[in-house]
Amino acid sequence: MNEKTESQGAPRISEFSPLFTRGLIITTCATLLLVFGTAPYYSPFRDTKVFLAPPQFIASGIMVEYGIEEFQGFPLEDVILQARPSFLLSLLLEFVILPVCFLCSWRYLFQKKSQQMAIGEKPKRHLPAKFLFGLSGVLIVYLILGNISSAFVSPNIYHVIVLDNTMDQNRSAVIAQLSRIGHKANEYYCLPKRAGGGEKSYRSRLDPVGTTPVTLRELGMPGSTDAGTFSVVQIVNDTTLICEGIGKVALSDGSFPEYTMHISPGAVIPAKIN
Amino acid sequence: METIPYSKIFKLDWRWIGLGFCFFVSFHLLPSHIIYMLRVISPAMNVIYSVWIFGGMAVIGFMIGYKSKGVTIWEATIASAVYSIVLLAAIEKVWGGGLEFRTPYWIIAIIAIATLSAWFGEYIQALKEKNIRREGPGKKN
Repeated sequence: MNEKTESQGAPRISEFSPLFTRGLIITTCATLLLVFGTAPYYSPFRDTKVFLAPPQFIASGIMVEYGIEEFQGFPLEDVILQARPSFLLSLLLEFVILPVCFLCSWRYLFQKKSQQMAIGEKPKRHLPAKFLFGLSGVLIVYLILGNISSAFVSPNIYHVIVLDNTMDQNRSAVIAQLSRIGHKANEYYCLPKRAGGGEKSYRSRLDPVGTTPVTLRELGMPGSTDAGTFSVVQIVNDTTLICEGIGKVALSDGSFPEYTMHISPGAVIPAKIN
Repeated sequence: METIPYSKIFKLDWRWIGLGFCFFVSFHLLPSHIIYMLRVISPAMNVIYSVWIFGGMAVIGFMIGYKSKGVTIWEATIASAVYSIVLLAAIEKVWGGGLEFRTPYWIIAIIAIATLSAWFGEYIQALKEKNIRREGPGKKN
C-alpha cells in the first residue's frame, strides 16, 4: 500500500525542493531536445554498431543457461551473442542479485555481531552468511575488474568481434559460391554434349581430346564475386574436378581464407586450406 | 482484522512516475549521450557505455526507491517502461543500432533491473527508518 497517497488530507511534503523539481524538469526537456533535436547534425559520426556486450555479461548467463540445458538433456546450442535469455540472466546477476546478496549478507553479519557484543554474548559463526558474503564479494570484484579490463586493457575487443564476424561471413560466402560452382559442374557432367554438357566428363568442350578442365565461363559462373576469386584448378580421371576459392577479407596474419571444393558426380566436398 | 481495500493496493503515485521518468532522462540518458559523444576520444567508451546502459538503470532505480517517502516500486517499473521506449528510440534513431537491441530481452532486462533496484532501495529505506525509530530521532547511526 502506498502510504503517501493515503495522507487523508494532510499537506503533501515533497522529497525535493521546488527549485530541484523545476531544474529536473528543465534538464529533462533539454536532454530530450539535445538527444533527439540535434541528431541530424552528428549523423555522419553515427556508428551502426555502437553497443558492445562485454564478455563478462555473456559468460555468466551462458554458464547458467548451459547448465539448465544440460540438466534437461537438450542438445547445447551454439553460442550467439544476440537474443539469448542468458544475457538477461547475466544482467540481473551482475547488477541486481549479486549486489543485493553482498549488501544483505554484510549487513546481517555486522548487525548480528554488534547485537551479540552489546548483550555480552560470544559471537556465533554464521557460516551461510559468511559464505554468501565471500562468494558475492569475489564475484562482484571479478565482474568489476573484468569490465575495467575490457574497457582499458583491450579497447579493440569490439572491433575484434566485428572483424571475426566479417571473416566468418566471408568464409561462408566463399563456401557457398564454391557449392554453386559444384552444382553447375555436376549439371555440366550430366548433360550430353549436344545440350552443352560434358557427357560424363568434367573436361572442357573446347579441348575434347586433352585434359583441360571445364572453365567457369563454360559453367556460366563468374570468376570473381564480392566474396572472393574462384578458379578451376585441375581435373582428376574425368570424374573429379577441383575448384579453388580465395576470400577477400584478410585474416589476422594478412593472408586470405582459402578453400578447395572436390566435385565428383553426386558429391561436393569443401576442404579448408587457410 | 482490518482489510485493505483492493483499489488502494494498486494505487499509484503518478507524481513519482513523472519524477522517475525525469530522473531516468536526466541522470541516465544525458550521461549515456555524453559517453556516446566521448567515443571519439577512445574506443574504451564503447564498453563504458554498454555497462552504463544497464548499471545506470540499477543506480537510478535504487534512487527512486530510496528517496521516495512511500513505496514506489511499481512507479519505478512504469517510469522505466516508458523510459525504455525513449532509450530504444535514442539507440535506434540517434546513436545507431546495437547488437539486436530490438529483442524483447533487452527491454525486459531494463525494466527488471529498475524494478528490483527500486525494491532494494525501498528495503534499505525501511531498514534505515527502522534503525532511526529504534535508536531515537537524535541518533542516525
